Amino acid sequence: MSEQQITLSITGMTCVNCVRSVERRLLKKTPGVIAASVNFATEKANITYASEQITPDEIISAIKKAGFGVAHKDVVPTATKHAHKFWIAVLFTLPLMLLSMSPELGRYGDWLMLLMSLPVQFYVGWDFYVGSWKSLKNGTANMDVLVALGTSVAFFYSLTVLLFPTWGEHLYFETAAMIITLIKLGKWLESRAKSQTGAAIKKLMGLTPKTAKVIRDGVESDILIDAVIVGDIIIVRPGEKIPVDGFIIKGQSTVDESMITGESLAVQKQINDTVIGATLNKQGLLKIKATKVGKNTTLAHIIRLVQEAQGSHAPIQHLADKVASVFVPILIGLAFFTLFAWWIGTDFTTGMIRMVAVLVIACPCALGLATPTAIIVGSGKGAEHGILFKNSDALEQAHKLKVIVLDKTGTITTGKPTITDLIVTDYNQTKMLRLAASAERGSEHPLGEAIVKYALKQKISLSEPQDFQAISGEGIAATVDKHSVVLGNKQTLDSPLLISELKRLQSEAKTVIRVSINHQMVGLIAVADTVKQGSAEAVTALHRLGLKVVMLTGDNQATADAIAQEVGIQHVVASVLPKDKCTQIKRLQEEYGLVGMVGDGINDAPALAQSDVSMAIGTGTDIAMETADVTLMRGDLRTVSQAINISKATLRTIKQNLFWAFAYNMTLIPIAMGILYPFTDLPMMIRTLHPSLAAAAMALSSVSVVMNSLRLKNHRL
Amino acid sequence: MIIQTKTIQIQNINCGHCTQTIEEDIGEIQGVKTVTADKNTKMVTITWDEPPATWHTIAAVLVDIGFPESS
Repeated sequence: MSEQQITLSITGMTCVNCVRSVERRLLKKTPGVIAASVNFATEKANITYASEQITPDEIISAIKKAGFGVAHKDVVPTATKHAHKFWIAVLFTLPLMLLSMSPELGRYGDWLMLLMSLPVQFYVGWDFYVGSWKSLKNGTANMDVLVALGTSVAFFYSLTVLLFPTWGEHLYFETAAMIITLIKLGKWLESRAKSQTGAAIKKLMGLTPKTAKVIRDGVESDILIDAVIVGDIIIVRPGEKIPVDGFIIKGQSTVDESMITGESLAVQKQINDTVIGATLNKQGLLKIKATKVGKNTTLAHIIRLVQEAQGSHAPIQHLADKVASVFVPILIGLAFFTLFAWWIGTDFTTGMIRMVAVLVIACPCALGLATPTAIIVGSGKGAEHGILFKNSDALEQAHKLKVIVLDKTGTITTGKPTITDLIVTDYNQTKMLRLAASAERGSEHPLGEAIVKYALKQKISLSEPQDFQAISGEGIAATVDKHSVVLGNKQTLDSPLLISELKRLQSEAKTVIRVSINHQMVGLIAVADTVKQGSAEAVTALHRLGLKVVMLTGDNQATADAIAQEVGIQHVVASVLPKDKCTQIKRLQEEYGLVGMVGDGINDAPALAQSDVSMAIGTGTDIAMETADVTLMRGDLRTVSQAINISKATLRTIKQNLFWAFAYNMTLIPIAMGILYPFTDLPMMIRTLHPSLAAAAMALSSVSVVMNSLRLKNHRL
Repeated sequence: MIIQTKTIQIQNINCGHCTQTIEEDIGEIQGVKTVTADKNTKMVTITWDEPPATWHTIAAVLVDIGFPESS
């Protein structure tokens, strides 16, 4: 029994039960199906079947009977199909060539040659006829037209001569067969290399865990990932993948998120922290509550984004298509010109052979491959580093940016206030922190939370506050362990040290909390939104790329200046209302040209939409990510310059590809036309470029373009 | 021969595909006369007469296809 694998795209699956419906239909009611697994998120079904018992078409009709659609089938990979046809071509072309070199066989040999060339011309070469027909029907001419025309001319000329021997003397069956064989070889190698360019997305899809350990009604059970619903409690043991997006309700651990964010350091996670599906739980036992499942998980979102980006046409691609559509008719014209010129100059046969060579060498298929292969490899490279390009337009534009506008809060800074300074008079610092943090335990103010968090991080054990009182706009008061604690912004300062320190901290745009214990001023706590790790480095990298870096913020000038100075930004636009952010971008566009914007919040969305290339911080709001062209999964600003680098490298590869594809055509077409014929010093092979040599050259050019795109994979960021 | 009818609720019904699956798979049991499933009310009505169709086998098939009776 021979087992075959097939992957189908299923449409019309509306809920997770549908997955079971499809699987059941296949496994229980369709004889011949050995295994079936359906993924709700990717809408793909992987089916193993016994090829003696059932055909792919029967499988598809079984799925349709269950009420679902099948988008497209991918029964045999293209590469395998091409390989199969190539070997058939070789099988017939080799004896054909031997026959053509044995004139002693006479007429019998000629008829045998016809017999041998038929399968090559019409079975292996059938794809070219189908391709030409499709293309001509749409009013365009593609490379298939050139191949079909070229080989048909050679084939039918030979057939005519075979039937009416007086009309000519030489047969060119082996030439036609040789061309088809070599071009098929090129197609095979090309599709093999092409399937490698999509490796990044396959890797992403392979990340999805298959099952989850869910606790329902107190019972722990392994269920299929597609059956997990929002709100399910899931257990993740150390060393296991987190199955879906959610947040931790019990336990703490470090989680390796490198597959999603590109960040190689494992991240500390504790209760209430969010976790992403497909990431790896390293140390502790975690209990998580599912918040996003199926199609809505971060991973499913990423896969969709990358697929869309790879499928979208880059503007530069339109140019290549346009060129090709003009190119082919011109070449057909040139080919006929060659035919007539040689016919008049020498004889019909020479003219015909030249024409076939021109048609074959002119195939602009390297041209057609130049852009898409580079885009696929480039966006895959980005995805590996946590940089998601939503469309190839962004991938192409990013390297042209003149200005990068950075939002402050959440983009340059962490967006969460943290304690930066603790100033005490002669009071014990730890004790002050312990009392202040204990008092703030009852508070829900972000500043209070920052103090509590800081104290917990210092492993200080807190007490329960009593008589908690919040005075709006001023601060709080509470009794902690019989100490009366007041934290506020209004108490009178008496010590010269505290007065001077207060001035200094305020000049650094920090928020200062005054602490008094038992009616005595004991110290100050300064809180500020701190700069993210790597932000300064990121700005330097952007400057090095020759970009103007601008900080745009709704905060006041002093706070903005302090942060700008810390990360090395000279150009600051502060106190901007959300609705004016957009206007600011317009102004920069008029002044400098293409503007890129990096932001994270809802208030950034209009500005992101206005900018030429928008990037959203992946740790920010969903709306920012929806709007942006690029999502930086790792909330790290350093990836901005990496994104620009990928864009640069991809564009460079596209240009190289286009150059080589054109250069190759431009130089070889005149040679094929016979321009070098008068130069008698040159070897005969070059003077009269044989059609089969032309076919080999053109196969090589396609392969070299794909190989060049694959080089992008090893590009260092 | 007694014709029996039973109406149950199945919470797991989410869409038209679910009702189709239930109607087909239960309908295939010999002895089952009619099956109607409503995706809005999540109610399923089944009538049957003789073995092998018994409530026991019907319930077992429902569990097997992922649509157990909700209690």
